Amino acid sequence: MMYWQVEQGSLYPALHRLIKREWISVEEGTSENNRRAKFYRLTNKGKRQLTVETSKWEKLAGAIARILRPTKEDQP
Amino acid sequence: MMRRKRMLVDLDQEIRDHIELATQENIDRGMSPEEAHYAALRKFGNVSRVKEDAHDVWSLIWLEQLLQDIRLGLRQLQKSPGFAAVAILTLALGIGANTAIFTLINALLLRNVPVRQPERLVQVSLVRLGEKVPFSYAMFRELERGQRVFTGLIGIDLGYQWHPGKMHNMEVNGVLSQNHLLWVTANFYTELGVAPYLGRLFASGDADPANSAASDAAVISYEFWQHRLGGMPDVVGKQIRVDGHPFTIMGVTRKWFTGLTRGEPPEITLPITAAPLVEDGTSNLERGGAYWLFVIGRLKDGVSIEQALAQLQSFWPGVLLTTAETRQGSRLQTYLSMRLDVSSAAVGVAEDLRSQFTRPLSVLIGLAGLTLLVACLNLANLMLAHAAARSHEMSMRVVLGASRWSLVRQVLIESLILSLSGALLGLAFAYWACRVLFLLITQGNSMLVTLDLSPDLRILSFTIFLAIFTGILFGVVPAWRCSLLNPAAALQQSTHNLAERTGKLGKMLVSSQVAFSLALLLGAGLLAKSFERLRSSDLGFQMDNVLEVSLYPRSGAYQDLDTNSYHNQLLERVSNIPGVLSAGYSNNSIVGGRESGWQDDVSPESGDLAVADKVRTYGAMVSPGFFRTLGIPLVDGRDFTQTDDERHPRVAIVSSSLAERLFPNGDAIGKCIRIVAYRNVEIVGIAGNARIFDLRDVTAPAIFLSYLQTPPAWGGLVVRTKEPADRLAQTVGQEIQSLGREYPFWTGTIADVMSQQLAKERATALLSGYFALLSLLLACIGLYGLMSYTVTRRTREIGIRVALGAQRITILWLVLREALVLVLFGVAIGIPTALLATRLIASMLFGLSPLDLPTIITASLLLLLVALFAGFLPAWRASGVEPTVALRTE
Repeated sequence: MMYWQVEQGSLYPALHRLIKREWISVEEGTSENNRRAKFYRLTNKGKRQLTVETSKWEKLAGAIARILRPTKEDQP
Repeated sequence: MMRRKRMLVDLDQEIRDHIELATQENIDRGMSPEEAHYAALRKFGNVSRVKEDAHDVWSLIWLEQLLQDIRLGLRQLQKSPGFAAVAILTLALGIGANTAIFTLINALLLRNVPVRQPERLVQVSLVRLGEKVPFSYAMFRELERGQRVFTGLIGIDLGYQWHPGKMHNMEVNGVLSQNHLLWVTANFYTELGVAPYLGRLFASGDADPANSAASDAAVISYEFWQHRLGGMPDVVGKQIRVDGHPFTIMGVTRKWFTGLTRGEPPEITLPITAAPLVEDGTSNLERGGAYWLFVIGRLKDGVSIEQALAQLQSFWPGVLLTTAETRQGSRLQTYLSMRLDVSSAAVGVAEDLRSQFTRPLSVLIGLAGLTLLVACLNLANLMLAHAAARSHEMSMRVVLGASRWSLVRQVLIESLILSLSGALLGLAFAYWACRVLFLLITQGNSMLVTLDLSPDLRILSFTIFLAIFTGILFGVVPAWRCSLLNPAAALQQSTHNLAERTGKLGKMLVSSQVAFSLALLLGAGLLAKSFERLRSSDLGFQMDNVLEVSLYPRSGAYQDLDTNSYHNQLLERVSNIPGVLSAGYSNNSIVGGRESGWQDDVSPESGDLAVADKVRTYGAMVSPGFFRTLGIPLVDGRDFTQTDDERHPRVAIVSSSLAERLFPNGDAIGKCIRIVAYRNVEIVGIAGNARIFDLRDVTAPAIFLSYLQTPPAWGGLVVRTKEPADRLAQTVGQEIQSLGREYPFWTGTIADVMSQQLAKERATALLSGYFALLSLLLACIGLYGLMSYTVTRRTREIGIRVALGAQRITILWLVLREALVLVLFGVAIGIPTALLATRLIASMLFGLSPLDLPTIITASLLLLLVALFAGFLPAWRASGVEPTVALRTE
């Protein structure tokens, strides 16, 4: 059986990409269980981008949904 | 960059933390430590891949890829050194030629003069009868007084441009030389913002206009100081004698200071107010009718050229009225109708030099550009074949995951490497070539022309632009081909699939090469034919064995001299030299060698002055022997005689063309005309049309007056000899000197003058011929290459044909026909292209239309012939194919 499993490691390049585009900011700190941790936060720019991307996705998803919705004739 | 480094260092730590954490979680779930670690790694994925990906986010990936492509490109070219060498050499020649010509254009037309803020400099000129002329000194003084828009007005006497032979005797420390003088107003150097190399330049006290005899200051140029005076260190304060008059050297200008006259730097500058000292009292300073002073102004901050003109015009009519002196009637009207013009002088005022060279240089760069285009097409073809040979490799790369864009990029990078190396070599070639070119096109100039040909930023950017442009031009077709590559097909069927389509593209490229070459051939043919016509055209006079000597007075020699009897005496003594057939005097030089010749309006006396047909006419004051000496036939009437002097009514001899235009009924003899201020001048003779003032126009109207009636201020001798004229030059010179009044400052044969006059035409014809041959050669190489390739590809087919009984001649024709179609197609698109292009050079042609049919036919036939020869070699090889061998190949 084939399925895509996103490797956990690919998270890091993705985060770096977002930082480089200044969509997220990073702060160092400690987690609840006292380990070193990084806290990522959406920047204003990132929020704007998120709105753009979300609306894009909704459009696409809407279009796909319209295509997949069975027409009346197909219904038994 | 800092952020990048920190992010990547942190990343390592983070990954370790991540895996550690995951391992701990796995252990907590009950795995053995080892198992837990591996499970965590598995879940994380490829650690180094993650690191690389993160690295890519931060690195300049395109730069790294570029470097990689360049390395690969260099290695590829190393693999085929022959191809690389041919390509680089072709480009070096093509780009180098363009750069060389551009260097001249840059030096002559584009560079600003080397002074402070040259863009603020403007030239103020007088527009008289539609022509821009300099000012009189009186006008200049009035302009200076009334203007509010310039920080200052500079006056320059460029007289030596009108009389380039006019040199002055200089003497410094016993070193004698003959040099040009530049007379300037005292603010010349300060207004231009030029610093001295040694000493000081002119200050306002040096030429106090109120005290014309005051100053004895002189400034010399760096070049004069170096070449004539050996760079003597204590030169400042030394005395320099100019035609015997002492001046003190105040300073030396910097190297490469060319003043405002590009190409013709002033060697010695003197304050204008000292001119009467040297010029024997015949100074232009006082003469209101002498227009000789070029006026340059530096615009005040914020003043535009239009504003400056408007301000000058506001008081200009007043200037004209105050300086009109005693003019009356039509002369006053002409005087008062003179207007002003203000134009930028950022690139200098040497209009003459510039207008002479602009056209030949622009034609040459057009031709060189076209040749480069042909070279590019040729290289595109070569690259195409090169790429075809590599289709296997390219396909392999696609299969291994290279994007098509990366293939295209690879090919483009390779062509750019070639073109940039070619350009680098071309720069070196151009450095040398522009000097040769410069000598070639200026050898006809009697004036010393000095141009700063050293490369500058503009030339460098021009070359780099050219390199990138050509690189893309010849790389884009092969690159496009690569992007269409079908790897599966290419890997399966060797190179056949690709070759098929390469052939079509190659054919198109060869045909366009042929077309452009035809345009070049046609242009070169027209220029060569035009030059030949110009050289061999009927001059209307006998050119051989005629010596021309221009005379210059010794200082003070004309005082208390009866010039008429002196000149008669001179002519007699020169005529009596053994070997001299006859001698004559003229104040206008033949075929415009040294002087542009005066021109004026001539009209019939009977006509109404306002509506009379004025004819712009060349004029000369000549002696009785003039026509005989030059061998100009008198069509009607008589020659001048010794009795045509001041005591007798003024007479004139006109050229046939002028006689026809003034008196179309053919009864010119005995009619009266007016010229300049002379009225009732009777026509006593009609001379045959001759190209003595205008080499290009035999019907240019000319009028001759007797020099005995109007003794000219300066002039020269024409001497006809039995043997080649240059042998007698020295004897004639000695004879002139022996009379103690004048010396010969310029001597030459008319034949020499003529060939100098044609130097630019010769150089243009020669160079265009060179470019045409080069492109013809390139087109032939292209055709040859393509046909050879075709033949190789069709070897099997040809073998089968031969095996089935095809004759040798049939095979020959089979291949040749293909070549012929290509060439004919090229010619067919080439002729209209060429005709479009040759219209641009129409004005440079002499007695020839750009649609000259014989030239078109000759050029096309020549091209056809040479191209067929290039196609014949592969065809011949094809016809010799042995079927048994051919069928066994592949």
